Amino acid sequence: MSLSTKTRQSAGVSIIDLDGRITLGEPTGLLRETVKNLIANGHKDILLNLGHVSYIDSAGLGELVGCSTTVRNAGGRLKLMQLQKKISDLMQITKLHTVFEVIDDEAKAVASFGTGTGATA
Amino acid sequence: MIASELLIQNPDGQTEIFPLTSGRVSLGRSSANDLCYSGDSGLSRQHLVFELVGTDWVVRDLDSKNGTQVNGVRIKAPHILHPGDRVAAGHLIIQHKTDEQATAPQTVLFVAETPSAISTTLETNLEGVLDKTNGAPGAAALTGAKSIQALIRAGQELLQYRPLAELFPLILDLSISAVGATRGVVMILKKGELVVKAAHGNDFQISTTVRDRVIKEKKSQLVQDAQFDAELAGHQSIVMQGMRSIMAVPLQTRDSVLGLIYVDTQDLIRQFTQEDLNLLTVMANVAAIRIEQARFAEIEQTERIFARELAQAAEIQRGLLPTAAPYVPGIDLDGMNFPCHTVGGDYYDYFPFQDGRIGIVVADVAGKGMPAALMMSNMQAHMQVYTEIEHEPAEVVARLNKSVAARCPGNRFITFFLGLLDPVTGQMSYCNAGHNPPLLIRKNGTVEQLKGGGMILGIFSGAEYEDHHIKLEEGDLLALFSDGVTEACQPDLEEEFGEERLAALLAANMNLSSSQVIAKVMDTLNEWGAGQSFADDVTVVIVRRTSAGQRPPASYSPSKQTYLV
Repeated sequence: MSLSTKTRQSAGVSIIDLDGRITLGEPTGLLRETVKNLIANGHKDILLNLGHVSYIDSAGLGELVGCSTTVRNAGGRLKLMQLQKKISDLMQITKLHTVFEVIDDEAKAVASFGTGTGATA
Repeated sequence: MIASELLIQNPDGQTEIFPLTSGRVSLGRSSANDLCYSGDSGLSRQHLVFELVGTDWVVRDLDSKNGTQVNGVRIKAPHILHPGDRVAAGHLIIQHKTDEQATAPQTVLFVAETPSAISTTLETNLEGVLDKTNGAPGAAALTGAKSIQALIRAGQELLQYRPLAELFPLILDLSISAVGATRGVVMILKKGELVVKAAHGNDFQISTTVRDRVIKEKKSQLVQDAQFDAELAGHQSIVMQGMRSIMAVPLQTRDSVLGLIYVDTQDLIRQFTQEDLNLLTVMANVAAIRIEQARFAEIEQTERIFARELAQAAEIQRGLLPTAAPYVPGIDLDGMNFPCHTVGGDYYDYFPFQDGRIGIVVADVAGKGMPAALMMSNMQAHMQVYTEIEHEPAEVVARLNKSVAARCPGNRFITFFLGLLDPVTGQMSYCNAGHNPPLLIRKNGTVEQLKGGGMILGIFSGAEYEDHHIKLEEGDLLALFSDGVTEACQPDLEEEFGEERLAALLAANMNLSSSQVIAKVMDTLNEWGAGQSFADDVTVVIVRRTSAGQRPPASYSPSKQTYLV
């Protein structure tokens, strides 16, 4: 039912693997804190892996927008990858796909930040 | 920050009050100080400073010649001020008070008293007293007529309903009269600090040893010893003023200690006895139980007030929704909203436009409950104004988006659909800001989605919106709804009701009136959720075009209650 997160680093990009449902309450709070902590530690390029997110309610969607603003205000970038069909439809209806850069392939998504040095990645 | 102030007593005995409005207040003979006492020869030019450190007020001596004393001890380092601390500098006595103490200005000073050679202490605890009273071996504790009378009186007085604030002085009066004390004070623990709640007399000096025995060990104390004077304590000399008899007992319930009752007597003949101590111990127990009861009653009262306010908010919110659908020839219109909490973030409305068209709105604020309801009512107020100024849906939506974006928190937004339906031609212009696309069920049962739309409200103030157009033919049914309908879940299974089931349900009930269709939808959702309460606000608006309508007369009041004829 709820949400769990795991954070890993890839070529200077922080990838948050989300699993579950992003809904009002604990899940939205967890997402916000996870992103805030990354920024506080200087990790400003963030990729949210939504591959295992089955549902996002309106508050969850709002939190994604809020996180995007937080990251942008800190001088970073927030991108999404691997949206399930339902989430993708939701992005279309709300037109939020114009706010978020959405990339399906992880390697391409990481490369799109242009932060990796290749040799050390 | 808790409002607080300094009480400064000068050698003439007058007390000045200085409110602490900044985080730093300096004191000395120099006029550069916030508090300047140029005539006090005991002060240095820059003598001391009061500073706010975190949430604590701290007094720091500025290497003054004569020094600064707190409770009679010269401070070498910054000192955190506690309630009751007395700061002495030059000829001034300064006390620091917060709001909390302001209601009970009587001061209690806790002193680290060294037991004097002539002090005697009696100790007991509640269990001990009750055992004895119940006939266990040992002295009969509370059999004296005086004790029994005092307990009966305490029982009678405490039984009556009284608010907390009245309870403390009553407990004090009962305690003082029961044991024939001269003075007394009732103190309650608040965040680990003892706060005076009622006092008879002032300038109490209570030994920290006595305090700790009472509060930490739940032991009642009776001490008879030499009285010592705090004013003179600064000079490190204790002056005998005769014998003093004091008692301090815990205000204890079964589980915890709420505070203490302290009484003393200056009477050289009447000293407290073991029976007095037993009596006060039992009374304090009764009083503590009563205090706890009153506290629960106040919490319940607060909850009742909150529930009443919430009910009123819900009533106001219902008032923002249409009470009845306008009568429009050729159009059968109805809507309903069911918030999952007392108030909600869904909104629907229908209202006549200046040019005779009917405005139909469905909106959903991200989130639920009170926060969503507040945003919803703000959005509704703006929308009403914009629908009177603008002529096409996209214009209304663009202006609404700007006003929502300017005020809405970063993680909130509103999905919003506005359609303007011409009842004569069946033509509808609409603009959709990220709301679930409405479903149009044609007379022959085919299902269309109202495609097209722009960004949800509140994200980009500059977002652009465009109008789309569709025509309702006779016999067509248009359903507008919030995601609470399609995302209604079966318990445990987590299977959503979904758009396909909704479309099929609508198509199967084309022959019903709009209000009957809505009832059908709600019944089906209830069945789907197996009678469990909805997890999200549910809103449905049904528009049926029954026959070619007539344009209503141009002059009518644009109120949503108006029947358009």
